[in-house]
Amino acid sequence: MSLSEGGPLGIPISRAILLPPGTFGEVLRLALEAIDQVHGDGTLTEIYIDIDPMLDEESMYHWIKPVGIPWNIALRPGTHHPRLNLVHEVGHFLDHQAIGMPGTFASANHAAFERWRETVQTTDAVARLRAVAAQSRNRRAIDYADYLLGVEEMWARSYAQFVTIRSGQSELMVELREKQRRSSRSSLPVQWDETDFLPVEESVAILFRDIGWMR
Amino acid sequence: MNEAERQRQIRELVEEYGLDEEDAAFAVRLAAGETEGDVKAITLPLPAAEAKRSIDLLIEHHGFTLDEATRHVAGDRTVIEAVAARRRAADENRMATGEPLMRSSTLSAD
Repeated sequence: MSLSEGGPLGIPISRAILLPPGTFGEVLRLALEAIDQVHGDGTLTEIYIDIDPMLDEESMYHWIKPVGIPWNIALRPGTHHPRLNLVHEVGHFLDHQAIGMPGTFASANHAAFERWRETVQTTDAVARLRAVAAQSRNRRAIDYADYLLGVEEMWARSYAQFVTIRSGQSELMVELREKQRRSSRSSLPVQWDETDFLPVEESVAILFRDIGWMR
Repeated sequence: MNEAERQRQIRELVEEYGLDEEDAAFAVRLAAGETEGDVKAITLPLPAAEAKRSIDLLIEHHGFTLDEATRHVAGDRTVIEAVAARRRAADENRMATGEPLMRSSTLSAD
């Protein structure tokens, strides 16, 4: 779909996200600009980006319990997919803060996600993950498959792929293609291949149009 | 888990399941109970060392004053709203004068 067929509505997401200065901040700015090209949102609370060289994971979304407000998105510099990681974490942030009741992850139960929840379960990538979860004898592979099958994680990966494809932003596309190449050879696919993702992409577009974030 | 065993488990996931190194390392940490994933709830107050790191980062990277950073780390959410508004205004001013943007997003609301 071309941008003219969709396009953002509402307030740009990037207004709520405080980027760090310097080269890495400029790298990440491209990811936020890609999001802004695709969709907006309603009123979103602010969050800052924490560049943390000591972070164990590539990226994290932190929130404060028990109040359910966001704390930061942390990113480890030097990873292979910094932009895709940021969009993935923004997916968690939006799921937690912008749809449904702030402080709860809407992807798991909110009615707006129902079509997406049904659609993502029909994909080949999810079927392959289920097969590992059910049949593997490797505990680490099973745990990882179960993790990837978590609704919130499937949402964040769907969101990152959706924004990348709909924006067409070249650096994000390079990062996604690398993940897709690896996933196509893996029994534990992290992202969907192009054809497999088409119905998921459409379900996310419908969701965003339904909640007024896209034309 | 010793490092040699960790590396063996990572290689196993790379070779037998086709994961990349970063995802395999994550899967090993996940199975070992060393992480619960990339979404994490924290509680305030932060431990002293983490609070100090956060305050330094907010000042150095995000233009908070010491007072603002200290209040934010203590849980005052009004601070980040004010800082974000200030940064947007600064960026809009830079856009108007053609200076390079320093920090926050460039786009204004519809």
